[in-house]
Amino acid sequence: MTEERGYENTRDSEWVEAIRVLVFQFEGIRMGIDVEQIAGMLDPRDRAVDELSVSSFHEKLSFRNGPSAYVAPMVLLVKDEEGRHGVLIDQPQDIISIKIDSIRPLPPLVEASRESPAVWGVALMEEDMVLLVDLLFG
Amino acid sequence: MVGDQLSERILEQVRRRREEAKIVDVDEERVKLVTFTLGGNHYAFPGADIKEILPLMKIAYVPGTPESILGIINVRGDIESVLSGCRVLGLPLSEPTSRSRIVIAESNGVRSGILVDSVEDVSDFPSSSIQPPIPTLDTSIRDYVTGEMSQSGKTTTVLSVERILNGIIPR
Repeated sequence: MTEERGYENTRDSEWVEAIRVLVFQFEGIRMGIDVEQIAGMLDPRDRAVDELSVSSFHEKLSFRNGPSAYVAPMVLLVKDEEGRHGVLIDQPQDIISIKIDSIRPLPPLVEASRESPAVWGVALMEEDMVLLVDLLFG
Repeated sequence: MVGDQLSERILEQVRRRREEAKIVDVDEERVKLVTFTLGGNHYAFPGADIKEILPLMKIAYVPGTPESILGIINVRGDIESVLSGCRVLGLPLSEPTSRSRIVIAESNGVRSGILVDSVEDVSDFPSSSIQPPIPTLDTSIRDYVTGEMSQSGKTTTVLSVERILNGIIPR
């Protein structure tokens, strides 16, 4: 998985014990994105957003029903080669450290039937789950 | 005297019938079934394919999955998928209640939870009580049905876990 997901190239030479993840709330689900994929975060009203190609999170991940309204939207600047892509997310909460031991793969039926590989794993956080998302897929 | 002879004959007949019933029960193959309800109908899974029965818990939706997959749950540190029994069988969705259950099913190495309206029983039934499915079954469930059983005036449709789980995987 490390080699398939280019954003982990910086970690090739070391054993990863934990990843730092931006956690946000979307449609009642806690989602998390590795901060290594994020170059920055902008208010959607910021003029710099006009220079970006912005996609909404619910469209990018093929949610069945898009949210009727984003509660607290923010634009994540994706750390890719072009540096011009943004993703509109909702309700960013915190940056937390997630131990590798607490990450689980998706169940086989989900893995086999999903349209997009963007959701790549699940982090167990006590009673809660955080779906881990790869912004560079899909 | 005549009354005594009659009652003795009746009692002897009752004893014989009970003995015959015991012999049939011991010799006849029995199959364990987990019976449950969906949309007011009765269904059953082979008991050998059912690993656990859980109360309804929070199911986290995973975007990009088919409608028949409700999401995932955390079962003592393992992540399990949860299918909608109603959607799999083409039934109208039921509102979850306190009787709803997640049945953890597994067949041929494929495993998933299946949300049902209630679990009625886990019992042994004579194999002979399961009849082949009627040929006029609705197309939405025909592929999943392995038999039917009638008991106490109700019909229970026996389903294949293997066919249901394999049906989720795209070809």
